[in-house]
Amino acid sequence: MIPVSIDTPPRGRPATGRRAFALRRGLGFVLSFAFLVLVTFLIVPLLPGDPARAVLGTRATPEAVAALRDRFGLDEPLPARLADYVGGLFHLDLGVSYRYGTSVSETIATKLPYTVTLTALAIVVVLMAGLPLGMTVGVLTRGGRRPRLGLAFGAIAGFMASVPGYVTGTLLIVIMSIWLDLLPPGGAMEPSSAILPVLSLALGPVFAVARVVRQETQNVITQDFMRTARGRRLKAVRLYTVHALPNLLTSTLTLCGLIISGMIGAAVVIESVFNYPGIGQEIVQAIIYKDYPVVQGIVLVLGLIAILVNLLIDTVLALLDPRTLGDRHV
Amino acid sequence: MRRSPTRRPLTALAAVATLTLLSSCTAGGQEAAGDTTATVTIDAPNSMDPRKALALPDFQLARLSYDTLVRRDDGGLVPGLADTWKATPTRVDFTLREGATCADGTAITARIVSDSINSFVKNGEASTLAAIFGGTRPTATAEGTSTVVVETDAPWAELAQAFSVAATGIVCPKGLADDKALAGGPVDGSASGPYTLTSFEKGVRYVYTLRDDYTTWPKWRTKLDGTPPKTVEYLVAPDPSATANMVMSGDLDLARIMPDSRTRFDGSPDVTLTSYPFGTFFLVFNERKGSPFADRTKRAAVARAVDRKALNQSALDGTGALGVTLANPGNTCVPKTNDSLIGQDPEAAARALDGVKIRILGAQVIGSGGAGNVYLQEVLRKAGAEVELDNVDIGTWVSKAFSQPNTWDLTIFPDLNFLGSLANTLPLFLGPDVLEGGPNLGGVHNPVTSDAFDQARADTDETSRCALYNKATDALIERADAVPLVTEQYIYAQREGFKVYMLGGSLDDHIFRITG
Repeated sequence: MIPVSIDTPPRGRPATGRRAFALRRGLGFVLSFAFLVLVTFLIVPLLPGDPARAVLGTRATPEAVAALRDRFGLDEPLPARLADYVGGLFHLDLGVSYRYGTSVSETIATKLPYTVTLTALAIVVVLMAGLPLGMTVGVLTRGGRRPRLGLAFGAIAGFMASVPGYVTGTLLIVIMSIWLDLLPPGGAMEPSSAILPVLSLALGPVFAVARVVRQETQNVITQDFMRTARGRRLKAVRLYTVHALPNLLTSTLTLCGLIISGMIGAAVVIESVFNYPGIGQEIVQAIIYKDYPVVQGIVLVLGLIAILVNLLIDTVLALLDPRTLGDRHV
Repeated sequence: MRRSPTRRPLTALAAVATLTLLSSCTAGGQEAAGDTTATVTIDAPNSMDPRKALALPDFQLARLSYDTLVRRDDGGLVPGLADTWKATPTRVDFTLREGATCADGTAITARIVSDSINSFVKNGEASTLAAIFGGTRPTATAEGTSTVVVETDAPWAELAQAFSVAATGIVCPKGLADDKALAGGPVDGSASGPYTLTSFEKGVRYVYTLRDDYTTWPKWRTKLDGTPPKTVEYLVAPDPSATANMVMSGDLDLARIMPDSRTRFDGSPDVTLTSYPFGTFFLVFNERKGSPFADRTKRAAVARAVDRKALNQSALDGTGALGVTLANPGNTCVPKTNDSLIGQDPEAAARALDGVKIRILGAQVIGSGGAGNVYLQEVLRKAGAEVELDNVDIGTWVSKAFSQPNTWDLTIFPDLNFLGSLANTLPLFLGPDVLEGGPNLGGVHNPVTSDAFDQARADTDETSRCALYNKATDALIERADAVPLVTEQYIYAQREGFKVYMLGGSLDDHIFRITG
């Protein structure tokens, strides 16, 4: 048997590497999802209070409470409820809302597009603004050039990245809606209603990404291949977009994966600030009224989205940089 | 009138540039409203079937499409679908208005009305039924084409008034024939009221359009300005701060705002505020063995410690009406003053409460974030008590208050009295304990209240009935079984050209008018 050094690249054809990668990621997805199902089921019984009472209110009669508990199997033992829950998932059935008496899937289907719209647009804004901004500052301040710009950018970007979205949102409403009357301050009555929530979600991450991209840009442009490219008198645009950009994407996309997961959570707060009728607003109401199936369904769907986003980013990274197919990088 | 997107050029430009692709994912695409549309806020409704109405937004939606037999106005009931009525505690004879029709043109007959009432009694939300019919079971019978007789199996003097509550709205035959569809959305021809639901996105918006053929408006005594909007667009907007922003920017015409948002409209030429009595707050004690408040002296000490004006200021920014009884000032039988109230006396309170351990269960609806509960905690601490506050959301409060009554000693009860009568509140202090499946939240035993309430239920004379209700309530107040605090106001911000009325202390009858 030949001992394999840790630094030795894995042998074998790329196809084998891809298969192993797919297998690993597939298995990881299944395990993550199973864990998510279990957690979403178990967190709900930890919520204090009786959902039947919460839904029916102060005038509830004992008969009405008993009927609702019976209808939704609230008196059944936990294992039986877990079995029902998992069994339902096999039929894509997320259960019935205690509060509305309609399917949870219907509730989610109504509200999810709003949240997805916000987060998708926010990610587009983050990539379209954060990448060029970070690269531009990285190039302009390379090798210690323009120290004042570097300092100013670092301070501003650090500050902006740390401002919570709800604060940004409130300021945007005051300035853009109330003072200048340029954009709607809330609701979803017109397509432009999404602009301020998207900006609130995206502004912090834009600067977070820009800071990372600036640092990566400064690292990449000192590499040998970039010196070679510059030596060939390539135009700046080609030099940075064709040669530097692909080498920045690994860290940028990894960061974006984390940002997207965070944005889904941030959207819950942002939707409240803007009265935006997304899934975040729905889960807040569901928690208040102990609408367990809706809470479970929303957490499950959002968790699944986060898992899929991470899987997608891993896949894109593997395609961009085949070295990440294996567990060990060259 | 909701502003048109074109009133904001940058908005239109930016929207087209950035959102065209993805806006198709959402509902979007609303037409610009004209000056015949009122855009109003609402909380998320549970059901669009009036019989299943449980919370305020359910009642609000029901009110637009399903007319009730009578309506509330300042000074009492006025004709709705019924022109006249003759009431006793066990029977009401309603004579229907002429010319009333369902949305499909079917004339509303006594048979249609009685079928709807019987369907509500059979299939309606049990909690609502129990509250408005006082635990009785009414039966409706058609006599000829225009008389409906409603009889109960036990006396309930509020029987006629019960038919002013939105949940009793008359559902036409096409609606009754399709229960499931009625709960989830519009059923053609089901409406008996002025508006039909023409489009909706569940939990987002509900658009109601005025029927062309509707003529049987309630016969209000109060003069209402303006005309009914051709379209009412309800937007689900649970966050009151965001709602205030939308009023200021012109995106909403009529919206509920919180007391602390009022100053934002100071000096605004476009927005006026109007307010109507809404939820009533009063103290309820756990009087069971083991609680400090099994002792009347300690209950009275709490009443002496609380400064209702200070509570009103801290919880409601001073907008509330100081409570003299257990219902809002617009309700029937509510007195202007009350000598039974236990006066404030901080020294006496401190003598009785020093070192007493008190567990307060608070709902976060008592002022912003439950500010009223925090006030109560602090004022009792000042009196020397050791106070623990469990300040929770309304869902948790309801379930804890009623399911675990021995986990708290004291709570501020936020009462929504849809019936509009003291008769709706008193059962909270009567009958079997909640631990035994009854309505008695605090485990109160007050024979005077019990006797007076039983007499009132069967009293045919309104004056003596009111006297009995007040006797029942005053007995609770004197024994410190209950302590009236304040009535919060439902504050509407109205854009210029729009008005809203809530008459006769009604919580669910929001009457919109366009005056501009």
